[in-house]
Amino acid sequence: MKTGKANVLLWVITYLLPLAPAAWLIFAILNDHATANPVQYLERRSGDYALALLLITLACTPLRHLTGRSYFTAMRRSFGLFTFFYALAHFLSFIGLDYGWKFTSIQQAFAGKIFLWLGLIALTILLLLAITSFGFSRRKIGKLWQWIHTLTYLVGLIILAHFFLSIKGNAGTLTGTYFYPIFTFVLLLLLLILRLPAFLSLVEQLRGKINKLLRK
Amino acid sequence: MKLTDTEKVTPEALFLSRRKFLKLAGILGVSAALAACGIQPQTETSTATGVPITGVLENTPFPGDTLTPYELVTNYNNFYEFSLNKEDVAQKAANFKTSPWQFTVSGLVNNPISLDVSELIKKYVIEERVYRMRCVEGWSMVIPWLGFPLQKLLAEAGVRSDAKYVKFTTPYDHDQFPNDGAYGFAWPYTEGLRLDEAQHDLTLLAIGLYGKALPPQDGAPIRLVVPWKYGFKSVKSINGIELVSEQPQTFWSSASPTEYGFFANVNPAVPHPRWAQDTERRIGELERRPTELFNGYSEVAFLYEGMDLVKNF
Repeated sequence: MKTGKANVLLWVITYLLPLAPAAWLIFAILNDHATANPVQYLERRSGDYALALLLITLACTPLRHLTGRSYFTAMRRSFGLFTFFYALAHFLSFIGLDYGWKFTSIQQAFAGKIFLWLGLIALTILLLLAITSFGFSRRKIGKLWQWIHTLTYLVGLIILAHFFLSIKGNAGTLTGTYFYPIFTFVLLLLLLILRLPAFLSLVEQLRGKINKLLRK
Repeated sequence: MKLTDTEKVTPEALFLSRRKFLKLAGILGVSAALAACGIQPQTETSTATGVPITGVLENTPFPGDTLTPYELVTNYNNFYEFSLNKEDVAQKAANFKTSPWQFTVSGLVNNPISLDVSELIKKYVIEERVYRMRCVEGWSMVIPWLGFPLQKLLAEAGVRSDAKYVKFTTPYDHDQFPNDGAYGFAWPYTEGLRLDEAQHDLTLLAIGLYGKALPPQDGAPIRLVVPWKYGFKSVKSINGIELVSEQPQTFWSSASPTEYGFFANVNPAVPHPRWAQDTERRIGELERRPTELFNGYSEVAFLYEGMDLVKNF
């Protein structure tokens, strides 16, 4: 049974907690905690937060399956929208802050840089997902909605390629700090496996046990 | 160096850097005159190594260039031996021991040198050089180094005629450099220059910045500074120089030969796979500025005459 307090807590987790990283970024920049190169700091951190939130978003449905708690649906939509919010901040800090909205500079920056184009593709798909995340569009497009929103996994893969190629080192020989993108890739695969039909029956079995544990 | 009016180096920026680090404004303004009279302005005694550092300004900064504040120069460092995060290097390098520090000059030389770095630096007049530092990642700084031209050391060692390249080595020391051996890189960090590049007067062995001994995060006790090349060529914490006949392997070109060339001259026309190199951000500034060929040091252009700079990136 949900008490009023639990509802408030859920609301805070769903709608306020994802704003904490943004609050930190603003605080860090205003108080000189954003390194000697705050523009780069903002670029990197907003990207990190977008990726982390994407994974958290993808964890919501498996968690709902495992626990049967319906509030994970609301969380999924909110976290998904915040993923787009941080991705957009990431993009805007790049073209606006870093390249000062100068078209020729931005064009130069994108020239031949596959990882930047991948980021742009991921952002475009996230925009599509954000627009269609509201109830009315879900009702309007029905089955298509389901299909469109499975693209979230594709976004995850594209973002990981974007991340992977942006690292200073050698992606071919894994010379450099490839731990984080690889770790994130494993998490993404795990989350994908949790959605496979074969796995869902196992989840059904687990669900009873988990609910028993939660009630204790 | 381009000889320009020293007055144009904005004095406000100098005062921005902590008072105690230097009466640099004074040095910049009057050192030329003092040097002409044979007087060397005294700067602070280094606390880190106990080496009294005297500086004579031996070059003129570019007009309009503003010194990057000491706090930023010493808290934003690419020094992978300590950390891959530029903002974490200063703290992780805080206990780096630079004494004793054996320094050798070996290979194709007539008079090999091996002595402690504290002895080595006593042999040379320490000059102050205000240089631009352009990182391959697209940011840059302007730093008042203290040091002496590498060519003086090479002259003392007596370079043999079969020597064509200079190789710079650093210690492999897991106790001191926590990342030595990690991430698949070809540790220890090594770098190289062609002999004529190494003998150019701009090429500096730096032992200090802002009138003080180098802090560990900036490459104590002695480092290379080659201002017309991307920063990764300016190898930190050197313990050996070797004269060789073949082009030496270098840290970054071993990691990714297609991305980091041996020459690594600053060149806005040659993009890096991850960074377009036509613009850069001066640390402390918001707006990007155009990057100049050879980082503005056009006097080195003759070294590359007839060379394809795209191929020899």
